[in-house]
Amino acid sequence: MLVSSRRVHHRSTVAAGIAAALIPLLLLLASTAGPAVNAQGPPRNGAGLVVRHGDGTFVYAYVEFDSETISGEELLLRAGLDFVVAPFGGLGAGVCAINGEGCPADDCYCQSYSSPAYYWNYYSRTADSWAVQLRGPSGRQLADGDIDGWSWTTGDHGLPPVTIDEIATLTGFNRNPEPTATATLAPTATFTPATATATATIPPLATNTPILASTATATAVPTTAPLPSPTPPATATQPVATTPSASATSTTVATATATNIVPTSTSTPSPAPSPSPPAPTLAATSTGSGAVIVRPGETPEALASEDGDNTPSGSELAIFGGFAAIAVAAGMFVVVKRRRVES
Amino acid sequence: MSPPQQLHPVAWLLWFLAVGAVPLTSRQPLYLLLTLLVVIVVHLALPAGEERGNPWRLFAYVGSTVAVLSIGFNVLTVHTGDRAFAELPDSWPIIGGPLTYNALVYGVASALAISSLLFAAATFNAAVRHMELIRRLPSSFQQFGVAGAIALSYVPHTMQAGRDIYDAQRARGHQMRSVGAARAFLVPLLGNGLERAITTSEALETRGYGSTDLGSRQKGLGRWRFALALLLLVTALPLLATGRIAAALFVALVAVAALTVGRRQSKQRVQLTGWDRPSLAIATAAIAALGVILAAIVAGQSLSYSPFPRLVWPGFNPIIGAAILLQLAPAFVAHRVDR
Repeated sequence: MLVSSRRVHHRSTVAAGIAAALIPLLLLLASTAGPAVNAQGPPRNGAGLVVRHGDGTFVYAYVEFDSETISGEELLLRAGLDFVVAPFGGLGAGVCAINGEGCPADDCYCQSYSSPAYYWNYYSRTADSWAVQLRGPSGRQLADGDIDGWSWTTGDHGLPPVTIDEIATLTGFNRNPEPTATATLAPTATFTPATATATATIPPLATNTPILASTATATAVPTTAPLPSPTPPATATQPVATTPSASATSTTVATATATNIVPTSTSTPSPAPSPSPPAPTLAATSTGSGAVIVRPGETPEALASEDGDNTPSGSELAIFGGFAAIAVAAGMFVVVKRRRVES
Repeated sequence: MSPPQQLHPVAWLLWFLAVGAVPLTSRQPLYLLLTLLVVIVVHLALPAGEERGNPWRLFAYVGSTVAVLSIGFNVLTVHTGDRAFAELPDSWPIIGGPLTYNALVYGVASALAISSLLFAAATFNAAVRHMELIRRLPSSFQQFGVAGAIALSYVPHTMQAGRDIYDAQRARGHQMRSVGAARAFLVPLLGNGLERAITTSEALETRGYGSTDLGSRQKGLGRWRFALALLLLVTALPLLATGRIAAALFVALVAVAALTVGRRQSKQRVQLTGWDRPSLAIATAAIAALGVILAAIVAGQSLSYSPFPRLVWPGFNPIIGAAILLQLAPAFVAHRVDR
């Protein structure tokens, strides 16, 4: 009886220990696995980005952030654009290339030494014009509503007179969400965490199609713990489309980390309410990473930026290790032989 | 042990160009690390205690130490990248802002490149008799040769003189304990180094270096010069096509120089080292490595790497790695350099 009692006590102790160990784990899972609906939080800050390529292609991006400001470089980074910068010490970073157009980092202004001199000109949007930025993007801080512009040009910047609201709308955000939109928000089971903020700010004039969920599942990688929503509604109420005036594809993005932006959902052609892109025949596509590309007069190709491979390839590592081992072995051979000779 | 062996200075020159190609053109840390390993192994293969080698070795050690210190400077002043590990207050001038792993990686890569170049230069200068290399220059380059003689001899001779002066001053009871006392060391050091260099250049002139005479080998050499110029011009074309105008111009300039200069030959009669099998092997390996690296630069981005704005893992091409490893060849044949 005594033995049985001890066993029971022992088992209960083990069970309590397992439970104690599982509770934080469950809490951790609950904090990371739930849908990232933060619709009741305060509206996030947002900054716009307009990039004009040499062939007249425009890339629009809207980036949300929780901090008071972000740097111009961080704006480019969060927008998911593929860009190359080169550090210039205390002067900050200079942008050498965006989406493959430009120069390599080791010769950042390679096309500026002859006439016509091309390089990425940096501008900021003022009340009614674009102002040249003398500092690099790492030295500029953007607050809510600010817009940065980049133009691959030799003279006139050619940037359109857009507003932050137009960029937000074009890219699938709504800077002034109505309360009803939040109330009817419905992340589904396949709607992964990082989509919450984006979904909460989907513009009322957009129509999202079912590929929303699948795309989100495939690409969303949140790294911070969003607030879980205990009982998400079963279906999302998507706003009804108005009469489309242009063929546009929008990409909705949500920031899940402090340093990157995660593409979470893609909606099929939906009417852009009244954005003011420069070209009359507007065709837009998403980059899959938060930016919208607009090419005049043609169906665009996505200049999707791919994040670099942050994980080393095992075979490459093994090969490099083998080569390094050969060099080290040669060094040991040389040292041993030299000692023999000297002795 | 093989008998004392002296490699051809042009083979060493080609080796130096080959091992310097990666640090001069890339900040890819894996290739740079491999290059540094190779250079150090070859450097270790040289005999210790050489009079000319030690000053350059010290030079390389000091330079590499400064390069390592520059990593911290890079981290503190470059606030760019996507991987921050700390942040200093923005109110701090220059160093205020986020400290990133990107800047750390770039600093390490730069330190590897600088150290590789310094040890390569130390190895080259310890292994090659400068005067022999200069004598091989075409006589049209006599002015450059004299300037090169002064430049190349200045550092090792000055460091040797420094040791002599230091020993002499200590023998006289002079204590180097204050900054003021350093004047008794620095002034004769500077004067001595300059005097040695000038003496060297005067000796070159006195012995007729740079005088001209059309030799019997001129016609045969002319064909080789023409072939070399043609090869260089062909090399310049892809550089021009890929927008590397400065590099193309440089190669074209060398091609023109190969055609125009050297038509006059020096009448110096000093016996020069000839080509032997080890020298040919080293030269062949160096040319092959240079070809691989040049092809990688022209054909793609295999060598290029930038940790900005995103820190990504660098790739590794085994062909380029093998080309770098080929530069180990001197370590196995240059056991001893006859002075």
